Amino acid sequence: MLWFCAELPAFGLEVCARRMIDDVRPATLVEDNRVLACNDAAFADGITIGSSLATAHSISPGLVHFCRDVAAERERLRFLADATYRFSASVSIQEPSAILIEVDGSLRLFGGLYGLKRALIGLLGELGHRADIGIGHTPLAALALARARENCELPRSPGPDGIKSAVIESLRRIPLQHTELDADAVERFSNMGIETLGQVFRLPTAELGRRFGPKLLDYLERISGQKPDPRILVTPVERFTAELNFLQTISSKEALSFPMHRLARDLEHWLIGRQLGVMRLSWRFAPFGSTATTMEVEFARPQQSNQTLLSISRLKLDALDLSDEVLSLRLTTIRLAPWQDENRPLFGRAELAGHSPAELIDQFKARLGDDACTGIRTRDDHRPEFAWTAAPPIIGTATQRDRPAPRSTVRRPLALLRTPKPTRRRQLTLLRGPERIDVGWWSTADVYEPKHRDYFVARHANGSQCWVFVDRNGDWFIHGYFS
Amino acid sequence: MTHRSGPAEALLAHPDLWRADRIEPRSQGIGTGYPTLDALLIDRGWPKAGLVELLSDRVGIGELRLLGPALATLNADEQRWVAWIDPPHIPYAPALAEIGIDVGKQLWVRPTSADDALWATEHAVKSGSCSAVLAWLDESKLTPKDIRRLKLATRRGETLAVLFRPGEAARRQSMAELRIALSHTTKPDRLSVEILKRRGGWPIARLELPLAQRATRISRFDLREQLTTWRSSGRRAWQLPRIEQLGASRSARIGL
Repeated sequence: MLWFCAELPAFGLEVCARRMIDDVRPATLVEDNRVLACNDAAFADGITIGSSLATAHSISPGLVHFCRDVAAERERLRFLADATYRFSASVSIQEPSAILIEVDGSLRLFGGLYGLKRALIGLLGELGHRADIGIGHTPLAALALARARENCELPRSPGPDGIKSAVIESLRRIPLQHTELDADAVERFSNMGIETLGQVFRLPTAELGRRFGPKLLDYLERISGQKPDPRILVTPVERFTAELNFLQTISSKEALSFPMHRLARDLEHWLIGRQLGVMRLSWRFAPFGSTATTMEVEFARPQQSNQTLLSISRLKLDALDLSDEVLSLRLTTIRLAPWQDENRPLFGRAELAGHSPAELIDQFKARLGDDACTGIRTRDDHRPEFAWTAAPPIIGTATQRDRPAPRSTVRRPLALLRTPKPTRRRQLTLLRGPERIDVGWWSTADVYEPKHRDYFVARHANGSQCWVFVDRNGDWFIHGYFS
Repeated sequence: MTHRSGPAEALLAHPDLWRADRIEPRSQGIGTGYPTLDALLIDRGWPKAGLVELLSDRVGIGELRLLGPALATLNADEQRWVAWIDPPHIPYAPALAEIGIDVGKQLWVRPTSADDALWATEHAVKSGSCSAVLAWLDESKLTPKDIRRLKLATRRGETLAVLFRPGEAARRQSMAELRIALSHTTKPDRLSVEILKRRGGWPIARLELPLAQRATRISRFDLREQLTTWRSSGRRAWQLPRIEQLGASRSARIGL
């Protein structure tokens, strides 16, 4: 067993700061009127951790302060666990701010210990979280190492024993306040002059148990791996929902694109973790004190990339009438499908390879309306109006070639009129024909009245070559052009 | 460059000097399917990435059949779409299939406004997801700037863009690299082509092309059968419309 622990030291502030539209304003997390955490801008202004809220505000007038939002933190941690699900199937949440991942089976795929560590830090960084990674042979060891930011020197391709001895060696150096021991026990140890875990390990177990109770022994056995430490593993949720409540209302659509990008990026990583693509999603723009506007976006094939999701959503947003200022934004997936990446050419056309045929259709549909873009098909019907149909475009590399028309003795026009256009016989010069087509007496009420048309290829006086017919009444119509 | 050659030769040999008679025909175009036309075009066909204008006042003189062989080639070679932006009539699937076009690769786009049509055209061209884009745009809303943008987009998307414009557009300047005016001829299934602008050559006055058609002629047997049905429907022979085409009329007489 090999555990990674991602401890997020500034998690409380990072969760709250997501509500801000821009990252550049100084922000602090406050508890009991004391500054608990600062972002970079607040640090740059000179705010120190532990100073009072009044001091902080006087130092930096533009300061935004948040109180801890435990519910939001829990939700976010749950999301991060789903996003890291891509590295391993065994992901466990350690509240308040750590994720534990069992990676024994994933090391080779992600390029060894250090490759995986880089990937994990990169993923969390992209999602807006700074992470300290601890690696250990037990979950608690990884957690303690991550909290202590103890970088234990692990061999590049370690055997199980090599890791264990290296981890135990590093654990010995860890100060007790980074462990899961309660504050009372830490203080008692400190009064006895015991500061690190190594010193505790050296003490006789029986004496420790008598003085500190079985809880401490249990912890020591779990952290060193003498006792199994089963974790509750995360089961990924079936549906993605994320909501952002802003600090101030957003009135312009351009300003909305920033938080939208944030949510779309979260969705992308969630989808990658689940190996899914989204087919249909919905944005909900909620203003303060009136009803929310919902915008649904549909994709022709499952999509993952946040750029695609956003570009199509923006096209749709342009057409949307958002009268009120938006205070809250929510992104929900409606329909998901298994993800299958497109086949890309190995050679050549590198600059075009990034474009997928489905994206174009989505963009057309988003801007022009759902039925403004269709494909066409032939249909087996002898009546000209029904021998074709508009259908959703076939997406995928294996488009099936339509069978060529079986009757090769007849000619059909390339352009067909929606409704036949009346014309006069004397304007026409008939070239070929007649071809009699029964136009479906069965589809009309008066079944005893035979209905047929005699079609000719003709040349109109204006020079165009057209497909004309004469009905039983002797009226002539243009039905298509040999354009 | 040697000193022995005269000053005129030295000047002519200068690499910056462009000489119209020295243009090497390139051959990376899409064959038009009409050897006479191919021979006149610098790409030996339609440009693979470029803007072409087809100018005509009439629908139905053979403007699509002129493009037919090229579209069939593109469909066979490429997986990309062919986008039809706002065509005046329905692109009729059975006929397209008959001339070898893969109807599964056609996208029929019906924008509701002129702005949307222009947007859709430019977007389809530059997206790189289309091998060809055929567009019928509102001439009154079309500015030289738009055409310039479309032309630049063709480079980016490696797309053949074909604009169908009315004949009067010939009087206006255009950035399109190939402009062809189409008109009807006195004979059926032939198209008169006038190249107004082409790269690497002067305009070509008039050229008659026999249009490609895969459909076969009506055989005598078919015709006789049809005449039988015609008669059995109660019409008299003299009610039959007269068939003017030579081959058909001859068989018609035999049949009668």
